[in-house]
Amino acid sequence: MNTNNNISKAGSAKSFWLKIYKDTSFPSFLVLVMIVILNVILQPNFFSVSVVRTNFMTFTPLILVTIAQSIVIISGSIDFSAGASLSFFTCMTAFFMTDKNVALVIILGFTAVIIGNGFLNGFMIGKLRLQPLITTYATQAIMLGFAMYIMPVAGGYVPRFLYKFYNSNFLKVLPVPILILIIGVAIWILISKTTLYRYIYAVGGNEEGAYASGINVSNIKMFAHVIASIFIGIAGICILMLSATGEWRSGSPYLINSLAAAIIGGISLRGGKGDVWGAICGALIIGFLNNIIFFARVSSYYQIFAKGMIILLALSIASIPKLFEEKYKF
Amino acid sequence: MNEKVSNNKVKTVLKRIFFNKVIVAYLLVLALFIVGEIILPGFITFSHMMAVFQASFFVGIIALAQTFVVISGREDFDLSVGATLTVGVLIGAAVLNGKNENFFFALAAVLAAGFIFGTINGFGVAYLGIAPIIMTLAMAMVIEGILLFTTKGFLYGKASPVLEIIGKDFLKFTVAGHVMKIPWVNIIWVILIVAAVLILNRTSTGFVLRGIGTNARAAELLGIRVKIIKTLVYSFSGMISSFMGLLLLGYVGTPNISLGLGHKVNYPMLSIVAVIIGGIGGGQGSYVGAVAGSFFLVTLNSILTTLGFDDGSRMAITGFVLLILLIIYTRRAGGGRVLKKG
Repeated sequence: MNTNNNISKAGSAKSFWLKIYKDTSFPSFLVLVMIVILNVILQPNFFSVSVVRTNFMTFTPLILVTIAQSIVIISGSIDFSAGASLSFFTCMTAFFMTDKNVALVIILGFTAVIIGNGFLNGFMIGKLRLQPLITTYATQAIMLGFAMYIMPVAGGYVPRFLYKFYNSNFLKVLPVPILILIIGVAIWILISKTTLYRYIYAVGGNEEGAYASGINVSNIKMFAHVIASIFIGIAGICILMLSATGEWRSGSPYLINSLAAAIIGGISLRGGKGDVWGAICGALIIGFLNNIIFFARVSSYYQIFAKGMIILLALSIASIPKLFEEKYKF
Repeated sequence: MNEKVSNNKVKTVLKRIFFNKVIVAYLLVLALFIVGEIILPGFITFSHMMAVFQASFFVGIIALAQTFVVISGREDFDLSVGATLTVGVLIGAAVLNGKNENFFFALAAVLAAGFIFGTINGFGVAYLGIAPIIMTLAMAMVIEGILLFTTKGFLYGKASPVLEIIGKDFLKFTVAGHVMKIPWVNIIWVILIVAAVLILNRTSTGFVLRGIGTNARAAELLGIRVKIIKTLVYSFSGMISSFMGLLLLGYVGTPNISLGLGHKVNYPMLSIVAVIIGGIGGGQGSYVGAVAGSFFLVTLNSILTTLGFDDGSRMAITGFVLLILLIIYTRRAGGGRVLKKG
């Protein structure tokens, strides 16, 4: 567990446990453990490789989008266009894809997401200092509009080997979704070793302070959006391989789920607080809860309601510690 | 000497005009009408203007709900308006069932439903401290789920004759031999505009809302009960949205779940764009601006539809317009250059 924002002198075992207890992602980790236990009871053969693979086929994109969302939120901004960017990616790639140009189309789609989601948002919010929420709302409309323009009805072509690959094991041991997740997290760990990572926290926590100490605030905000769009691009590839079609609706559930997951994972919307490990816990919680709905045989009429209620309840529970903090302030 | 002074006066007047977002919004609408007339001759006729006026109503009323929410907070937006509107449509149809005598029951039921969902939104935002966009987005999902499992896809009832007259008919009168038609909904709208402007600009309620929107902390220290008022703002938004659902039922006739939840007309987006075009933000602006915003959107939409653009490109163009306006507004206010932590 990453304990960057807790300053305590390491040494004895007691301070180690204290450090874990005070970590922002600790509550979400506890909840995750409970939910996994519940899942083990409900889902048969929970630990077999194929079940783990099927589970992570849907979890991996959500986790990646949540990582993207949390980077942006930590930098003091928010990405409302994440879902629309995913839809745009799947529509664009499925529209242009044939058996021969798979790699080219994916790279093109990736670039389009980085430009449209990363640079556009980053430029508006970082350089022009627009209000993040409304700005990303506008980019959401643009991306979704393009997705609907390219593909008004679901369709397109995705080669068979691509979605077979996603539903297989790498070297017959490691499920491919987990491999992609490991790559994504490895990219995140690499980024977290750089000074850029600390600057993102500084800008999110106290923008004026960061500016006064010589950090280029607008560039950092822009980089945060660009880094986030890389993760959104990887998540887009996963969704493309998972659904094997391009549809402009495919990305929309990921927006609310990623926002909820980030908040459950202890990331504060005011910026500068929380870390990505908590966000991953949050995404896993949402994923496993959706699993539970499925395995508890909830009728399909009730599923949207149940998913919405889960998000609402999780958000209310996540807000309880904050209420006590407010009390101490007065 | 005298000339210089008058020159300065003209300059300040011009400056005032261009710094007033409401006037700029109406100038934009005017510009759009002129562009429409150039591209499609016959755009500016009384009957077409009335058609635009009538269509603007349905955006404008949702923008009214959004205006109250946005004025009361810098980061407050209600994204559940589309879902609440659908609640209004379905409950209205089920209670009315085509009979005029059920009208007041239907009105009461619709308003109550909107009030309940709005209050849940407000409770989450004000008392639990959940971010408004996430709360209202999750609530939209919950409402959609409730509609799905209560109706199971079968929709009962239809609008009553009176509601249909209110929803789509015109008030007809003759002026100098010409038959003039004014939609009934727009008469309701004019009343609502006057009421909203009076409430927001001339009463203590409006003053308190602006106070909360400018600085909730300061308002709380002044003794304003911020949490209750914020909750009520969301309840009001829910009530207005579901009321609008009832009127939309009158316009359409039979209930349809995709009226507010479908992708063709994205009410949360339209209302937010209208509010932003009208220059409304935390603590500032007036509903008159949002009215201009809804005129602008409907006119733009009608021009684009006539030119043969599809849903997707219309949505993308709306997004571009919003982005450009945001840049202009933020830059001109000078707020962009000042480092400020909200």
